[in-house]
Amino acid sequence: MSLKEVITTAKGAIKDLTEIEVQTYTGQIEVAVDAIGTTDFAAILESAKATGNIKLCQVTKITIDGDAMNLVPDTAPPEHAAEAHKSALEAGQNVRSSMLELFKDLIEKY
Amino acid sequence: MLSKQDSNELDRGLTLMRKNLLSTDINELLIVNRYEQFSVDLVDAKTKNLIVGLPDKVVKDKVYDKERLQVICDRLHNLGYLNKANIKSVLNNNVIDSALKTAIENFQLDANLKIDGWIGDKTWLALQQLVTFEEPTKIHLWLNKSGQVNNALKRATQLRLYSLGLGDKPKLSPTAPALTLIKFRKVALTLFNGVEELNERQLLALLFDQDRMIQNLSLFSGNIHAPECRLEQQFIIAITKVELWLYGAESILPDANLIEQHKKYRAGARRRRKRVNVQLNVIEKSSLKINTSSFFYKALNSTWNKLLDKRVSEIKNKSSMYITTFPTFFKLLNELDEVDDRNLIQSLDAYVKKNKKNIKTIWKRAKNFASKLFDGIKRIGRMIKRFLGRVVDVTVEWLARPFYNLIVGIYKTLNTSIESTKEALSFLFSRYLKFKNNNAALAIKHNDADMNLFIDDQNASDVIDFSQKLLLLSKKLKAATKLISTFLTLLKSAFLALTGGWWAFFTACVNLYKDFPELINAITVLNEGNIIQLEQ
Repeated sequence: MSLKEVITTAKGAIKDLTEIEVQTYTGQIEVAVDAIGTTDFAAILESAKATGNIKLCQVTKITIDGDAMNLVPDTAPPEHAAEAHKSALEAGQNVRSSMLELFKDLIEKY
Repeated sequence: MLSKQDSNELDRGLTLMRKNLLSTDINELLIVNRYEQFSVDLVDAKTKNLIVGLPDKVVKDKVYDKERLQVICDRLHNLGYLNKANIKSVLNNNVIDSALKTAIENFQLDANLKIDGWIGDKTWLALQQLVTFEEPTKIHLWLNKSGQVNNALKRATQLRLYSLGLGDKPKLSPTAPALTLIKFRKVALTLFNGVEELNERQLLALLFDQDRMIQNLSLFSGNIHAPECRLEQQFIIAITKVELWLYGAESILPDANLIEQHKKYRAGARRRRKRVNVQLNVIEKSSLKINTSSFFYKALNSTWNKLLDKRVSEIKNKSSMYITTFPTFFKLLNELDEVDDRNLIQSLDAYVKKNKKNIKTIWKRAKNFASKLFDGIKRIGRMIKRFLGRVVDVTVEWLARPFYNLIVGIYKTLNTSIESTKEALSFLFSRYLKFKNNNAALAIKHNDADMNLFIDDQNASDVIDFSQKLLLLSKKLKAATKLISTFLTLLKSAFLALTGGWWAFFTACVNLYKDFPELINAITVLNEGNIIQLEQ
């Protein structure tokens, strides 16, 4: 990763640190793996969804003030999927916290 | 007799021996005891005027001390030069009267000495040799130029024969008695071996050598119980008395004196006469049985008692039947003479020298002991040193090991922290998250920490593994950013210190102190588990 990319990432991160959204999909993840490295990841993902190889099973959104929104299908996802979703959510919070720690001086100034 | 010098030497030797009585050698102790007894006897004999030291070389005012005067008078009287009445007068007045001076001059004349009427060294020694029994008399010194025995020796011979029960006492006479050795030759032929071939001079030499006669008697193996051996029996009794007298039994009177006493007290009380007669019977008849009330019997008992370890009854029997067992007595005396008192000083000197050697030996042993002791101490010292060295080594090891472990631990911790930080930071800036050896899950991460999580619902265990790794990595990222933030703060403070003053740097450090537990926690998290490797 070049310095330019780092700065861009940092800019983007700071820009939307106010909320966290985690979406968990189950199914054949080869599609997602194959999509790595492609430029239009989102398009491939939509295509996979359409073919039914990947299925969204849980969505959670947490704002900075602590409000949370959790979307689950009618049929409850497998237990390991729920566990993974929970971990991803916590990891996301940690990442946000790290970013705030790293760029706190910058945040304090602006 | 011992001179004053010898006497002093003896005293010094005895003192030394007493100091060294720690010796355990029984023979040495016996010698020492004997010397001590000899010393006591010597003093006792001097007190009783039995012995007198050599005359002083420097004559003072031509006066003898009283003890010396007594001895001179007695000896001149015994040789027939001085009357007993004159002796009494001389001793009472303590002066040399004309009678004594004449007697001395007559003796000097008979003995071929310088006639000066004074008992000096030579005259004293001449009297000593002729009268006493201690030293063998050198006969050739008492011959005239013609080779004939001089008058002094003739008188001394008569005195000696009288003492040995073989003649009469020399009488006061201006002329010397005739030399007659008939009785002695007869006795000697019976009792001594090899006498047949002795001429007159040799016979005289034997008569004046007490030790030689005793030695010969100790070898006797014949029979003298027959009546014709009466003279021999008389001789044996007399020489035994002389020997006992020489050994300290001074109360024994010469036999002839008893005869004189008998004559003197013939008209005396019946009881006294009877007692004297009884003693005379012993001598005159030379009975094989000895009177138990006589000094001789008592002295014999005492001597047997010292020489033999026997019962009292047996000793008394031996004394009563003395003649039948007489060779035994002389054998014992002869054995006793093996340690000759004449060699006293030499023995003493040898003893002292031996003790000096002992002292050297003791010193040598002490040195060896001290050397061994010193070696032992050195060895113990080395052991202590080695032990202390080991203690120091162990202590250093005990201290060094934890210190080393601490350093290594810190290094490892820091290293792991750095590695984990690198990995965690790469997680921050990665678009997707996929761990090595795990194909069950994948996370697409957006820049703002939003995530799309793809999981294989058929592989639960790998999914759980993925979720744990994801969570741990995020925690490490949090810890790493804390450390980086602190480091940046320090860097900023240092910069401020350089540009604005050290106070700001100090304040930053104090603030850092507040965050210290948080930093420790961050490091702990970074070192938790293995380093999680992301698949690039």
